[in-house]
Amino acid sequence: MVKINLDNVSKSYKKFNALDHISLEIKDKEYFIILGPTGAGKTTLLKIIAGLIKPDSGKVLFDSKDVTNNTSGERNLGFMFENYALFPHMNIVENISYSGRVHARDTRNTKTLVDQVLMMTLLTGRDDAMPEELSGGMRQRVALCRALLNLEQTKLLILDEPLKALDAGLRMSLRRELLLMAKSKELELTVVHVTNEQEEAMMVADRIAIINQGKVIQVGTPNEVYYHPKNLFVANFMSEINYFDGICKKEEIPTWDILKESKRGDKFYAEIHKVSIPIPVDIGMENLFAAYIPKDRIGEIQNGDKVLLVIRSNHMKIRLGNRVQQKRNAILGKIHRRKFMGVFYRFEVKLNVKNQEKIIIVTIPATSEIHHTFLENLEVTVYFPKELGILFKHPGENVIKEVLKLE
Amino acid sequence: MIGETLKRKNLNVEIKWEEIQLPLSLKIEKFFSKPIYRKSLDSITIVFFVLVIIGPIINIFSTIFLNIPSISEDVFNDDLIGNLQWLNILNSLGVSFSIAAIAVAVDLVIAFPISIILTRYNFRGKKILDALVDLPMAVPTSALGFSVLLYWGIFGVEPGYTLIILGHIVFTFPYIVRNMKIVLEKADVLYEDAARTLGAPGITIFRTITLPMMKEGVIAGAILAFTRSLGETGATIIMAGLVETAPILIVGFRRQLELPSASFLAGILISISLILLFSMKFFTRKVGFPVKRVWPNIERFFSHKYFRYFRDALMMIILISIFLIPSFFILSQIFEGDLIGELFLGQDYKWVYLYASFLSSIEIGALAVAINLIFGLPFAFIITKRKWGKVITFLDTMLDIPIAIPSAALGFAIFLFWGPAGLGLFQPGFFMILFVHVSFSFPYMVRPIIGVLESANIGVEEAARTLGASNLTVFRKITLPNIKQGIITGSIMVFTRSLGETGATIVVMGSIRTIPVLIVDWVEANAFPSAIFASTLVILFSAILIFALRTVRKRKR
Repeated sequence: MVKINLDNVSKSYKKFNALDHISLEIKDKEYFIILGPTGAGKTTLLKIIAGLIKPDSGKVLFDSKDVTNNTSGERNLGFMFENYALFPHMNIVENISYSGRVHARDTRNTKTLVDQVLMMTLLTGRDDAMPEELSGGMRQRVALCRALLNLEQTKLLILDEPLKALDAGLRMSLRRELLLMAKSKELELTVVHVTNEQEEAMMVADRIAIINQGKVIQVGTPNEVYYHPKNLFVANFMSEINYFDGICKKEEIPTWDILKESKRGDKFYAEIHKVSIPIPVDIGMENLFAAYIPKDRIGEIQNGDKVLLVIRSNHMKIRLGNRVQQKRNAILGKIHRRKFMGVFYRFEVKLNVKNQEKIIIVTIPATSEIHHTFLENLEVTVYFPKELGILFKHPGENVIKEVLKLE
Repeated sequence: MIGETLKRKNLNVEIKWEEIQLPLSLKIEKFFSKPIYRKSLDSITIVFFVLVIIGPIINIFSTIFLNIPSISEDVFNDDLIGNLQWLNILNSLGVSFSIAAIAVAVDLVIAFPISIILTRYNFRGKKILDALVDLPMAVPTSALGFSVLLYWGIFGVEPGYTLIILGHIVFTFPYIVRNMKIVLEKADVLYEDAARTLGAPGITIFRTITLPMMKEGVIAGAILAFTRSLGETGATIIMAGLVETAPILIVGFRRQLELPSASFLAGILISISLILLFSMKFFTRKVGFPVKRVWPNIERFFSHKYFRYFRDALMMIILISIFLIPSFFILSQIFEGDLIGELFLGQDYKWVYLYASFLSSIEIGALAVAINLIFGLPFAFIITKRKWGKVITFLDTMLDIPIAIPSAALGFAIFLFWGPAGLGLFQPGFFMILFVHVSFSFPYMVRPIIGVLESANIGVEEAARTLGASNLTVFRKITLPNIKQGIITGSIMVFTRSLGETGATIVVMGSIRTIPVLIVDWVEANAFPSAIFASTLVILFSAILIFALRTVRKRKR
């Protein structure tokens, strides 16, 4: 049973602000992902939770108890390091039983416990192996065991990029294992897991905190951060995006009925509808475009504001010619380049918006049908369901350039 | 061809071939990049190495072997004094070894916490403290020894056994701290963090995690300090009083031209040092620290932060009172006594001697750097780049010999080999001093270059080679800038070692004086103000050098 609160935590190294007034709540038994690019302050945040670094200001609370001044050892948590940090001069059993020995727990007890853990992680019979003799996956397991055996009443497991050093196939299966273990009835762990891969985050997280440049940008379930990103950075971090500049035409709202659309039977849509409201946007085409915005952000955008309409490349759809029924959110264009990416096709479609050429990325699952139909230089219509359009107040060209790393 | 074709087609193009051809420097480099030149450079380097370093050592053993009768006569069965000489030798060896052992033990006790403070803590003035701890390594030991003599003189410590220990602690300490710092900086804090999250208290972390990772540095530093203490002459002469250490005895034998006794003692010292060196190479891999046992409660109790504060404070006090202040105490004595009268107005023109010996010290140091650079660079390349298997391992081990054996003994071995008693090529004097200095400082040049060569990015060189650069061009344009740091570090190390050497110089110097020898002479002659002035001069000079070294290193980061 452990609930973690970070209250206004700041940390800086010389002049560099690693963490800037961060407040977070991590619930009991939650699988909590901290997601962000390299150098965002993720590891610093983890180390503050673990008590390896003392914050310059702010408090760390475990179950509402202030532990800011407690040492890492007193917090009794399991910490799995990037590259695992298995002690190179000790064999597996010595590594795993290290915390048992330094805490003077009953050695016989530890011995059986270690055996059990080894059994659980398929490592029996290799107990005198040195860490360097093990494969990446095995090292990860040993490191995990070592961390788990340090848990007492505080069932908190901290994972610092646990899958980074592994190859792709192993990563998939270990993700699943991690999740199963965290949620298993015997353990019921609270997990804080740092990563810079959105796919990993999506797969295992109960909630995700996205941090950048030492600040928490957004906290939410994978669904929330994916469909309702708080800003362009979050939207772009989760997958490849397209964007249009536009102007909000809020007064012309009339025609869409949220409830009616939600009765289509598509549960997914309905769920979005509960929390979001459609907004008409003029992006310079003859028709108004539309996109949804979460209710809590509705005040952010006023009528006549410059806005940014963002659509993920995998939410764009593509049809040959102008065979699209719905006039809204559809633009005529020409396939400029087509690339087979394995699981999906990636199209660059050249559009004409406001008399300017614009390239839009569309990705669709690869099927043989697509292979034959959508060829380069063909006229196509690209469109997107308004539920999947994401609307931001226009952050300015500089911010767009910075976030999307455009030159 | 192209030019001719173009001309034949009556095109008005004239191609100046000179412009297209390689510039002269590249052409020369291309010419000398042929394997034969590389091979001949390799062989010259190895011949140099063998002659300068291995030859004299083999020679001293063969000399001992060939002169067994005269040795046994001089050492064991002298007409007048019987085996007194042998007892003297035994006694001096005992003194030397016990001093080295005690000094290293004391150093180790202080060096562990100090090296951790210098690498793991962050505080204001850390860099200054770091530089101060390093500085005595660059200062001639005779100046240091004199400073120590003056400092402990206040507390009534007379020259003798205790004072030698106190002095040796001072000048061996940096070697140990430096080696520990290097391994501590390399050892990832990650492992210590991991142990911390697993609940281990500070002392347990140190003993079970940090110490095993520091192992090699600790042993290397301890052996280096031990051999330096064993071989030190200059400071020891000043502090010894009536006590005779082994190097002092060698110097004494040499002065009285008792060559058989001297070579016998030098041979013993060299053998012991070699045994130490090889056992170090062997044992660093085998020695383990007890990491399995843990005494949780005791260690947790002593890891309490008040103990830590207490320990750190105590160690800092010890560091300052027996190490830092004694090292630089002499600077405060500069205005004591009649300096002007003695140094400049005296009948014996001391200032002329000071000037001349300072010049010859600098000349010898600079020449030693130059020669070591010429042979050290190719040698470092041989060690890192050539794939000769066992030969490389052998050369690599041999390279450490000059560091390990007492410089007085090495000096004497070279004197025997090249001097009148051996090949007769050199007479004691400037060139022989230079020769000896080149020989004992050789590893100090090669080791840092090997270090940077091993960490240098080979990919860049290969990239340049694929672009068509000849080997020498690659070396000049790519490799050299990359290893510049190693070369500068090595050069300054060689220079300071040469500047500070006393024992080896005394053995081969003839009538020339270097600064450290001059300081010894003046202290023995009780000309304290002049000796203080000379020491101050050298300490300041070394401080500037160390400062230069540090700025160079900093730029590297």
